[in-house]
Parts: sequence; structure tokens; C-alpha cells
Amino acid sequence: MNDHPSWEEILNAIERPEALDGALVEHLKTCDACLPNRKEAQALLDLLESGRLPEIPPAVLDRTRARLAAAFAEDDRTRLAVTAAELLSEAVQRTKDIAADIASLVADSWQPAVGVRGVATDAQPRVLRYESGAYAITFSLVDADDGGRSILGQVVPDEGVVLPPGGSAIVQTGGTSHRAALSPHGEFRLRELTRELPELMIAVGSDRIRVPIPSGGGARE
Amino acid sequence: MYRVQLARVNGRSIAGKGRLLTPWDDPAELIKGLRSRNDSAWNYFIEHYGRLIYAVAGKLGLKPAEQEDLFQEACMTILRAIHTLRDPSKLSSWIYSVSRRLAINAHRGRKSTVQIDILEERSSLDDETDLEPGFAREFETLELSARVWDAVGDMEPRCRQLLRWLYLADPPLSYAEISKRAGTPIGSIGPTRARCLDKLRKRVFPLSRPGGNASA
Repeated sequence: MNDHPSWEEILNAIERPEALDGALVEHLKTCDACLPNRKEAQALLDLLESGRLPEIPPAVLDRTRARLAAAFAEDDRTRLAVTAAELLSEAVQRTKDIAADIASLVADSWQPAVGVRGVATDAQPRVLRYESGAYAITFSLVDADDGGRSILGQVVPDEGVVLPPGGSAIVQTGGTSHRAALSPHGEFRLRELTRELPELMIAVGSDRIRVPIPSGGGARE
Repeated sequence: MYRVQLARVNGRSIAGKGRLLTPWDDPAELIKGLRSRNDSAWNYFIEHYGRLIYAVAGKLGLKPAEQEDLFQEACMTILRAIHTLRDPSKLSSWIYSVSRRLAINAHRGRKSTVQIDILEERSSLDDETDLEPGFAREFETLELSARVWDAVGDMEPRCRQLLRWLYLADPPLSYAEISKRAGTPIGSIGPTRARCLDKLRKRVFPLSRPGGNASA
């Protein structure tokens, strides 16, 4: 041992004096140089002792765990209900989005194309072509002398050549709904329409495509 | 039926000989576990930090059933408010603060709830101005306990666990038991404890003392 005990020896002297050399213990009782360390060691051990707290009765622990488990379960139920509501809301919104899928006009035979000699005239059938996410829709507008209009067209899917059964083309005019069934290859004809046709609706399976019809005339029959 | 495990958390080596134990020994990891509603984390919290809560609940002369009610209410409050704790190194002090507010309310016959958005890591002592002196002293002692827990919790893992086993567990673990749990030779525990206590004293008593030549 050095002239003065080490920090560890001081700790041992406080905690287990019976296990130590009597001379060491006596030294610590009288040495002024060791006093600060001894006091600090005692204060530290007293501080740690104050942190020693009794264990909780097991029955109390069990009941508390059960209560927390119930709270977690309730939170889970609430969270699931919120999630279910959110999923339903998303599904409804998606359905609306599908119904609101608007086809984009990609070609109008009455619009002259750059680099093409001559211009289209309204004597030719006006053919309009649209694209939506999964379909190409082409139809011609034909105006009758009596002021009516008809639409002859085809819906072609991006994948496959045959459409699911039950598809239809629908036009709403003045509160009247005109519907034509789509053939297996997507062909349709709508007759006796008015010339005020803002929109054509195509229904294929669960898909709904809105096809805005440009203003202006169609080809004469 | 219940998701919460009833088995006690025992220290076990998770990576190699002598390496540390449950991840919940680290206050920062424990808080993450509590926030994510990890069952194991909450088990550990109730069993270990719950002692501080239970001690607070027992300081005001409440009946055992009331003490248990207060203990459960404090745990539930902490469950709801754990996301407000900003500093993991103040976990014990924060737990003490929550528990004390609830205990004082219960002592005064008020409804045992605490407004979560005003919980602070170190609450003012205004609530205790009209407490009986004996109770105030008991709370001071427990507040000191909480600070000791935080100081130990903030140490490196090896020291944190050793000091917890030796000084904060009730009853304390023997050197033989620690040797078995930590996978370290019994002969190394004493010197390691001395080194850890030397580090702790530098945290707790930051001003260096004059003179003396004892070394760790």
C-alpha cells in the first residue's frame, strides 16, 4: 500500500471495514490528507443508498400491467377504427377518381396537323380520338339535317382486345339519358342525340371515363 | 389475452461474454420503447422505474389500495405523456415530478389527474408550499433519489448496470450473482466498481476537492 490508501481502498474501508487491514482503517480515521476523499466517498455511497427503493409487490405489478394492456388494446381498437375509416375514405375517393377519369383529346380530324398539305374541312367525318389511363376512345360525330346528331365509335383497351361484358356508352342531354351497349370489341352507336353534347361517358367494368366533346359541328350525313 | 408479458425482465447477455443486457437499461432506448408501446419496454419500466413512482405514492400516508390506484394512475399518465419528455437523461426526475403532482392532488382529495401539457421535467415546488414539513422532506429525499437514478442512467452501460445492481437494486446483488449475470470474474468487480464510482463522483461532485492523493 502507498502512504495513503487508494480510492478503491477507501470505498472498501467504508463498505467492508471488517474485511480490511486494521492499520488501513486506523489510517483513514486520522489522516487529514485522506479526509476529503473519505468524505466524498461516504457522501457518494449515501447518495446511492438514497436511490435504493423497495420493490413493488408482485400483485400490484400484475394488476398495473393488466391495466396498461387494456389501455393498449383500447388504443389499438381506436387506431384500427380510424385506419378502417381512412381506408374506406380512400376507397370511396378512389372510386370517385375512377368515375372522374377524364379522357384527353389527342386527335381531332378537324384540326389541321402541322406539315400536312391542305386542311381538313367540315365535309369530312369529324373523328375524335381520346386517351385515358387504360383505353383509347375514338368516335365520329355525324350531324343530321334535322338538327340531330349521332356518335359512332369504339373503345379499345390498352391490354387485350376484348372488353368485359356489360360496357356501355352514355350521353346525357336535356335530362334524357341515351345509352348504347359496347360490343365485345368496344364498338357503339348512339343516335338521335341533340347537338348539345358536352360529354360522353364510357362505362367498362368498374371503370368510368368521361369524354368531353368539343363544341362545334360534326360531319354531315 | 393480454399482450403484456408477465415474466420479469432478467439481465442477460445479448452480445458476447460480459456484454450488456436488456436494451432498456439505456434510458434513451427505453423511452423509444415506451413511445412505441413495446411490451418489454413497459414491463421493464413498471418493474424498475415503477419503484420510484410507488415510493412517491407511499409517502403521504395513503392506504394500500389508494397507493396502488395512484401508482396505476401515474403509469397511465406517463403512458399518455411520454412523448412530451425531451431529455432522456432526466427520465427519473420527470417520472418523479409526474408522480409527485398526482400524489399531492390525491393527498388534498383532488381528482388524481395531471394536465399533460404542463408537465415539466423539473416542476416548481409551488405545489408543496402548504404540505406538512414531514411530507416535504420525504419528497426532497425522493427527488434526490430520482436525480441519483438519472446520474447513474447517464453513465456508460457497464457502469450503469453495475452500479444499479450494487446500489439501486433492492436487495443488492452479490458479487457472485453479478459475476454470473455479467460474465465477468468476481475479482474484477471490486476494481470496476471503484472506477465507476470515481466517474460518478466526478459527475455528482463536479468541483475538484483540494489536496489528497487517493486515486481510483
